[in-house]
Amino acid sequence: MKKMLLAALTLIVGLTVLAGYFFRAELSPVLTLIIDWGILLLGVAGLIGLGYLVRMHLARLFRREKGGFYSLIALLGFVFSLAFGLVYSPHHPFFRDLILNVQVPVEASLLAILAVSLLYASLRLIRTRGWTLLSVGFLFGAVLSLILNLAFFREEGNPLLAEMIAFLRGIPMAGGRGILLGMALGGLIVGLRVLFSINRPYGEG
Amino acid sequence: MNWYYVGWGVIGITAVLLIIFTVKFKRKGGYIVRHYPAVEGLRNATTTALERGLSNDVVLGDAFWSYSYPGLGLHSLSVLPHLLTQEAYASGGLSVSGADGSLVLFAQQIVHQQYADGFSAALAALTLGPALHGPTPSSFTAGVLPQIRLRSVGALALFGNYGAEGLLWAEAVASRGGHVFAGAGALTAQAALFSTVDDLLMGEEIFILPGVLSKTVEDQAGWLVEDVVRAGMMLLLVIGAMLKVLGVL
Amino acid sequence: MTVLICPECGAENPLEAESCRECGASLVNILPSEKPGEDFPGDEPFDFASQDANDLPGLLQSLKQEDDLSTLDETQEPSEPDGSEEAPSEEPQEQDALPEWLRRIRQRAQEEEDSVGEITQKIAAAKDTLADDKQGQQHENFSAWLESVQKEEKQKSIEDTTEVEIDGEGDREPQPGDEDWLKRIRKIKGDTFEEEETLSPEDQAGDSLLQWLVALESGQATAQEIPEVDSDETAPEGDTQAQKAEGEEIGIGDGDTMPVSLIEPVLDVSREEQELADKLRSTIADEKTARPERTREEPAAHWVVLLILAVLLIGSLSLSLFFGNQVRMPQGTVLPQNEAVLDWAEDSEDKTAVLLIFEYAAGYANEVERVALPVLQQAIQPGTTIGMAYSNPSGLLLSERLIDQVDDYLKLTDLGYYPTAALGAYGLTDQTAAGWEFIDYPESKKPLPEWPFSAVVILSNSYEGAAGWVEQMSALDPDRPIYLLVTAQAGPLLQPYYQSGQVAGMVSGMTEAAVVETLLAGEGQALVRWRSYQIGVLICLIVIVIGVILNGSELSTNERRVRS
Repeated sequence: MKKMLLAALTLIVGLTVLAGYFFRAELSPVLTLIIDWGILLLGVAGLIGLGYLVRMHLARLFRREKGGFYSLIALLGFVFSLAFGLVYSPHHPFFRDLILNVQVPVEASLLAILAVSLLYASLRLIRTRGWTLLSVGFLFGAVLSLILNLAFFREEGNPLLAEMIAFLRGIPMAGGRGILLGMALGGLIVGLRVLFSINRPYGEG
Repeated sequence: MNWYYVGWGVIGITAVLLIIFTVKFKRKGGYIVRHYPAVEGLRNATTTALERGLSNDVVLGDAFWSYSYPGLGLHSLSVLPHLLTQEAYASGGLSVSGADGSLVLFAQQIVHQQYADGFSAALAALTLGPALHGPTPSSFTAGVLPQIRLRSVGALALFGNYGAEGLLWAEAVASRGGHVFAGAGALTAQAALFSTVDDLLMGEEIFILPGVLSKTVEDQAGWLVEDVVRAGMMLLLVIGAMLKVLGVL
Repeated sequence: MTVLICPECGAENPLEAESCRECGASLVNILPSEKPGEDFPGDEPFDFASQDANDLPGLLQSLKQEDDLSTLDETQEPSEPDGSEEAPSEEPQEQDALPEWLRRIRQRAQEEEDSVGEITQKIAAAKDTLADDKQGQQHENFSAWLESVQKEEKQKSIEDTTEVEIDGEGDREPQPGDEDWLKRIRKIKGDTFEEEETLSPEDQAGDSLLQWLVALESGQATAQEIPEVDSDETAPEGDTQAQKAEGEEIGIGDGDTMPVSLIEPVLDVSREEQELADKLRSTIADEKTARPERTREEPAAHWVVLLILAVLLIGSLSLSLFFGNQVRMPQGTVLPQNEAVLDWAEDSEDKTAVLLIFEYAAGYANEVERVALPVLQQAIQPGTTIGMAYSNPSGLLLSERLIDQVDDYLKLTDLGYYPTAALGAYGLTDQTAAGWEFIDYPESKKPLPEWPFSAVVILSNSYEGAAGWVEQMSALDPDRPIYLLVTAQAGPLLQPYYQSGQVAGMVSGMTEAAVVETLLAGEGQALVRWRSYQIGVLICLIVIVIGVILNGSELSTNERRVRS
């Protein structure tokens, strides 16, 4: 009975949102309500997630696990940011500078590490994948994109060259769109199966 | 002509085909079960890690709801029950994490559901449950990298929606002799992981994974519908291109 | 009732099914089996021992199952070259075919009813039931069981059966049922067994199995290991063979002998179970293989190469920011999508309200700001109303940081944080529709600035985030122009949205940002960073070429794995 109720609820909500595309004026208030609930639920889930984060670090700290010191720093930073944001406001210039002057360099550093890792991975591409059609295609696409991004070619007054470059730019993107189409199709079927309650991944696996 | 209606048409046809084939396969028939060496690699790696007393880490991605890859968050949750084996619980070496609160919340629900389905609740004490190392991709990366270094990770399985930062997680495990399986991710992640991860599922392959891990008629119906609609879309693309060349469209 | 058992999942399927209804596996070549609880095909179940058979111990039950299987085998292959299909129906042949130990048991059961154990009596009762039964099918089944025993014995006589039998018995764990029936037998028989122990070995032979089981249960006897048969020490080769041929008797204790049943236990294993077992076996074999722990090849070299690459890349990029000649605008014509943005920024038409969507992470702030600032500084005039919505948790802080650099005299309206782009787009564009309303529905939202905005500008670092906003907004409000100011990573995949008309204009990455900045505000910061970007791209190209040259002749990881 409970499963039936959940399946019916999923179906009704899903179909209502879908129908909203065609009967927007008629269903607008219902859609607004559902979207608001969706946003609210996702926000609450995010908060619960933060609770998990805090619990994990607290557990690590109290169990005196390896890396407990880092957990202490994380917890102190969390408490300080929360308290400051609540007492003052996220709009406060000091708060903004404090957060962004930590967050931006940290994230940028991670991206720099990522760039180096990508570089190293590209060095080992053939070693990992060997000479296959896929790896050669991948290599060709990567080199082509990089060369075109250098913007060394002068296209001015040369429509043929401009056409050719536009065509070459499109080649790697064609592969990407193909993958995206396949993924969209897979995603569509996963969504429909959830909508029809053929499977409930978060309910019973 | 409104192209949105073409999209709705594809969705409608897909839905009808899915229902038809699911009902049909429930009565009789089935579809080809494909073999993926990458999935075998994942199975072997998790077993080996378990036997060696190493940790099996599962990352569910950084978004439950991803617009561009709408099925990925759900997909990672669909795979999770197949990895929650008794052995994994008993060993206490299974670690599930995600970079999104809702993902972690649903993952927790799945873990409890597994207990309700026959696992002993006492085993819950062996693990802290799904962990959120950070609420954004970058903070998650910053949180999970030290964990990988502190724990001995034997196998890392990446599912769901994540970006190129997945390469950093994979490198951290692989550089310590661990095995990495990547089952999904955004296009950028696939591009980044292609040159590093041996066992990689790309594109629509990733959606086949739950069915390969545990064969059901529903999965097979989904595969057949996917193949049929894909063939139809390819045909439409060719026809559209020809019409465009002829100046009709 | 006969069903088809799926070899993959073990599910029962109707006879007419071509594939499993549970897993879809093909059932084309699968032979029908009895539904659990129903032993034989046909309307009447074959229960040759009726209720007594329910008390049979596991060994006899397994014999009975063997009979079932042999019947099934005969159904599959009705005609055998030796004409053995006729044998079960003929009593004399059946007697001849019996193993020695079974013949003795039966003989004793017929001659002296009280002197035999309960098991033997049950076998006799079963035999009587079978003899009384007029149904040929049932008779054939029982005979087939005896036939299978004979075949099994002949086959095993060639092999060294003792080892197999002992292994089988030794590995078998005591079952609760075993204990019960043995206890019941002991209760009924009382001290009879002790008396029988004094009998001659020939007399004991018929009951030796029962006695051995009882002794085993009471701990008096144990399944001792059978020494390997050595023809030189024990008996001549011919004697050994003869002994095997007539059915071996294995010594259990002093004076006890155990007849070897020569029937291997039937194990019904599905294909999936077999695969799992094979995997476990291969994993164990893999574990036992003498080889070093799997580690990354050349870990030291790995870190050295990484370090060199890091120093090379970061060092070159950093130096290029501070040193070098005056850079020039990137070559090439302005792309159409850039031109559209330039036109919008320079156009003096109504831009009283602009909606800005912040969909980028803090790590990409510098790149997005370089792309967005020249455009926004040109497009947004003092007094313009700016609506700000974010689908990134840091969006609020990042938006204020950007807006501070644009102008100080703007009317800002904070539309809040949306956990996902699609929900945000749907929520924002849906504000106007008001076909009907809920009564008493609490109004919790801030009053919005007058919609519509003259344009929507999306600042993003990822294709996924931007696509969510674009697709929803262009579907729900197709007349609203959407402009994209995004990173180089997101640009290429977003280009089709411009080509399809869903996006009015777009600037992506440092190269295009440098062009737009030069055209709008003259040479600035974007040009300097574009030079660094060029150097980074060049380094990447060189590294890829070096990698191909160095590793071109190497085997791939999978190939190495296969070869090793």
